This record gives sequence, structure tokens and C-alpha cells, in this order.
Amino acid sequence: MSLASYRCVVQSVACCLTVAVVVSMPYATSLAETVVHSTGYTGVWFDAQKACVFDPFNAKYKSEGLSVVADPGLSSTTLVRLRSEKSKPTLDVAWLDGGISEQALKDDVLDGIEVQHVPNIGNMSPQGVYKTGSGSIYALSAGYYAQGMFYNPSVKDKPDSWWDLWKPEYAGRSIFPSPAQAPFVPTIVFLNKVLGGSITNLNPVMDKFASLKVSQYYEATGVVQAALASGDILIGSYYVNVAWALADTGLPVRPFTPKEGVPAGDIRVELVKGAPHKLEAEKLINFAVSPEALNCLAEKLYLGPPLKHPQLSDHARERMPWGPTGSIENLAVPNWNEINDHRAEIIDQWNRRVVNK
Amino acid sequence: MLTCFGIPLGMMALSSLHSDEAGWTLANYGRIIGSAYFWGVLISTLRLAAIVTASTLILGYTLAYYIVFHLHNGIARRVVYAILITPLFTSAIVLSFGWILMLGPAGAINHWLRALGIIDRPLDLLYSWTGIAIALTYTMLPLMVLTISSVLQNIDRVLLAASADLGGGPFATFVAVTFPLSLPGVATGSLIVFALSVSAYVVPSIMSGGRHLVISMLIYQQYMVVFDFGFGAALSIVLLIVTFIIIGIYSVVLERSSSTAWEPT
Repeated sequence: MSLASYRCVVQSVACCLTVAVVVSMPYATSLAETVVHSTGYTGVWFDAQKACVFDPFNAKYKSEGLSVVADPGLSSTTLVRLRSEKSKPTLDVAWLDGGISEQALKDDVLDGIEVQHVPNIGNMSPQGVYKTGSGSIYALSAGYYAQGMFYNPSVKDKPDSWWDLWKPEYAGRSIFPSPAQAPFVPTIVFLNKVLGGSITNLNPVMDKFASLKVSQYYEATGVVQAALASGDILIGSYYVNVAWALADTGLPVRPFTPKEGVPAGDIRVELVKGAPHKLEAEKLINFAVSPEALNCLAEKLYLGPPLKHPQLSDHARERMPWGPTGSIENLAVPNWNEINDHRAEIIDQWNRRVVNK
Repeated sequence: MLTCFGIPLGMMALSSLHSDEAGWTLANYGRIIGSAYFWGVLISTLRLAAIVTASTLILGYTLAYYIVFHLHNGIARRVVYAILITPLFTSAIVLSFGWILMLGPAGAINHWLRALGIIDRPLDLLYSWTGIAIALTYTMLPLMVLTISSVLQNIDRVLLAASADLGGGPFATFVAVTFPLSLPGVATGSLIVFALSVSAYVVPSIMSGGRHLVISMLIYQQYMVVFDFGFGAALSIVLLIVTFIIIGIYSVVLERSSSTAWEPT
């Protein structure tokens, strides 16, 4: 055999071996490891989920060949994904806000969570365990937040009411969530109720907001941080827990609970219907609602833990959505089914009467 | 073409004919056609796209003309092109945040206008149609410049010399020779900028501050907030049809203008 022919044979064999190894690698990996696909939130929320749930889960179950891979995203994008993948889901576990969770249940993309596979349910407050009419668990809370208010410490008179947003000294220097933000609809419904309206009569709140001289209705929380950093904003409505987290970084923001009260919401973890790895997904859910994970989320994001016996530092306790001395009982959680039934109408009226003025 | 465009478009068109309550129906289109509100949002969107197209055309043509006919140094030309196309490599979100800092009451533009004594109080540029138009113009400018400059570069210099020999000054040469020959580039650049502006989402959603609505934001709301996929699809199809009609009319008008332009024998 000539040198050229010998070289050609060696190169061919090497090429075939390489292809064989590359093609078989995923198969080999899948034999040794199971990967649970979960969604997560974005920004500081995802950072906290990673630190409190995903990374510790991977560390604990590494030796068993079990791991989680999380895709950051909004609740709405997760729901859109669940709907589009309904016949063949790629996700095992979904994280959805309250309200979107009920919409997902209505869309029949959630599976019932078995108590015997998620024993940490026993540590949870009953309010954090969401059941259908037939008693099947469709979601578990991972922490409560409140859509409260904040002010810039440079203001002369400390505000204490939602209606301070309309004060002349704050004209053009205030922010409020836009319809793209999950708390928008429940906050509008809450304020409408305070103004004497009802879910079928939105005139009070729409007329009120039509007269508001706002700087912006923010579409993304990153925009809020940029606005706060610029010093242009003096007052606004934002997640109380995230506002505290921003204050801790030195931004000019002081959260407060207006005297009229605040609407609350929560982040939840759900089992996807038809999940490719159902048993492993329930392991992840059990880990996510463990006292360790829920207390960790409370410390990092100041989310109110849905635990019968939360273990919080004094620092975190002062920043709870129900205040330093309250509990879940003090939260005004909306009627999500009622809100979802009127969601389209609320957004339509907002667009027609408040936007494009 | 079929896989990347036809099938997704077909699926969206099918989705637009379906609603959760009524099944297969034309009700989604009925809601749009019978509503002055949705036509108002569409007209606002088209007006914004027209303003952005006109702005980028004026600025872009000026820049392209300067680069091609007055920037003779090859290195300088490359540097200018590199600076011009930088927005194309930058995320629209980052660009928008940059403009928020520039246009704010304490931003660079208001700062310098006040420092020069041109204004006493800050201009309300942020979260307005003006702010959206400025940010979109900045984003689209490279496309217009590249399109027009590629056509200007291919104009035979002999024609310009002939015009000068026949007594035509720079302005007359531009009007009678350069501009008519550059019309294909003008048309292409305008179409690209208009089509992208009318469907832009990221820049308008951030720069509007939620105080103004364009059709792409409305479509996003239907899909991601209201979860009414059918109505969102119907809005998308209506936008597509209206845009096609406008682009078609524009192409015909420009084609007729180009065919009457002077051509060498």
C-alpha cells in the first residue's frame, strides 16, 4: 500500500470514528442523566430561583444523574409556550404568576400534583396550595408579593396614598405598570374597587387614570431600574419586594404600603400536563416548595413564604409583603377567575380611554 | 420561501379565522373593520412609519452623498461606514435605553439646549411620538445609507462630467442627473425602512412609555396579555395587507418616476 493510500485509509477511519462518537454522545448522556426542563422568571427573580432552587437541586441530585435546566421567561411567554406545545410538551415544570396559573388551568395544560410525591406540601400554608373544584392540586405557591408603591427619598412630604400619584408636584415624575406587566390588571381592579367601581363598571378607575400625568407606564422592570437610576422618577407603583432589593443596592427608592391597601400576587410552580419526566418533575416541585427553598426566596427577594412556620431574618421580616408583623391572612389576593373573565375588556378600555391621549 | 414564509403565514391566517368562543368565524375581522379605534391605531402606526422613512431618507441621502462624492480617503470612508452600521450590531433594547438617557429631562439633549440658552425648560421629548420617531430613525438610518450609497457609487462619473461640460452647476447636475439615477436606491431604502418601521415593536414599546400605542404593541397584547391568539393573528393579517397595498402604490409611483428620468443613449 502506498503512503498516500495508507494516509487516506487512516483519515477515513478517524473520520468515521469521530462521527460515531459524536452521534452516540447524546444517547450515552441520556442513558446516564435525566434532565428536567423548567421555566424560570427573568432578571433578579431568575437569579434568586437559580440560587435557591435550581443550583441546589442540581447539587443534591447530581449523583443520581438528575438535573434541571431552566429557561428564563415571563409568565405570559410560558403560557403561550404551554399552549403551543399542548400535544407534545417539552417542559416538565412551569413557573407562573397567580392569574396566569388559573388561565393555564382553563387551557388544560396543567397536571395534578400528587401529595404522596410532594411531601413538602405538608409544611405549606393551606392558602398556598391551589386546588380545583374536585380537589386536585394544580399549583403550589413559591412566595407572595404585593404591588405597592415607592418614593424617592428626596421628596419633601412622604406620600402615603395611591392618590398621591396625582399630586401636581409629581406630574411627569411618576411611573405605573403597563398592561404587559402581570400586576397591572389586578392593580387596576383593586383601585377601581377602592373608587367604588366593580368588575363590570370600570369607569371610576379609567376616568381617574385618564387624568394622571405619568412619566411612563413601564413595560419591563429593567426600565424601572433605569428610570430610578436617572433620578427623574419621584413616585410610582412597583413590586414591594423588588423595590426593597433595589433600595439595598443604593438606588434612591423607599417602598411603602399605601393606606388604601395593596393587591397581592404570588409566584407558583406547576406540573405540566404530559410532562416528559413526570416523576422527576415532582421531585423538583417538592424541592422548590421545601422550607429551605422558600425561606431562601424570602431572604433574597422578600417574597412572603407560604409556610406554616417561616424562618426569616429580622432584615427579611421587615420587608414582607404583609408588613413586619402580618401574615398571609393580611393579603388581599384577587379573585383571579373573575379577573381573567374580564381581562380582555379591562385592557381594551385602558387602551381606548387612557393610552394615546 | 414556502417553509420560512408561506407556512407560518398560512398558519397565522388560519388562526385569525378562529376564536375560542365561536370556533371558525370572521368575527375577528369584523371587530377590526367595524372599529374606528383600531383604524386609529393603524393610522398612527403608518404615520409614524412615514415620518421615520422621510427622516431617514433626508438624513441618509445626505450622508450617502457625502460619503460617495466627498469622502475620497478610503480609510476615512471605511471608518464612517463602520460607525454608521454600529446600530445594526447593537440590541434594540440597548439602543432604546441609550435614547432614554439622551432624551430625558436631565438628558444630554436637554442639557446642551439649556446650556446654549436655546430653551429655558426641558423639552418633553421622552415617551412621546417624537422620541419614538427619533429612536426609530437612528435605528433605520444605516439601512437607508447603505442602500443609497451602493447606487450612488455605481453612477457613471462620465455623466456628471458631461453635465458640467454642458454648463450645469452642481445643483443642476444633482437634480437632472444624480438624483434620478439614484431613485432605485431611494425606492429600495424607503421600502425597507417603511416595512421595518411599521412592524417595529421593541423601540416603540420602550420609547412610548406605555403612553402611546402602535399596532405591533396591540398585537403583542393580544398574544401575551389577553391570550386571544385569533384576534392577534387577525390584526397581523390586516397590517400585512395594508402594508402591501401601500408598498405596491409606492412602487408603482416610483417606477413611473424612474422611467421618465434621463438615460444616456
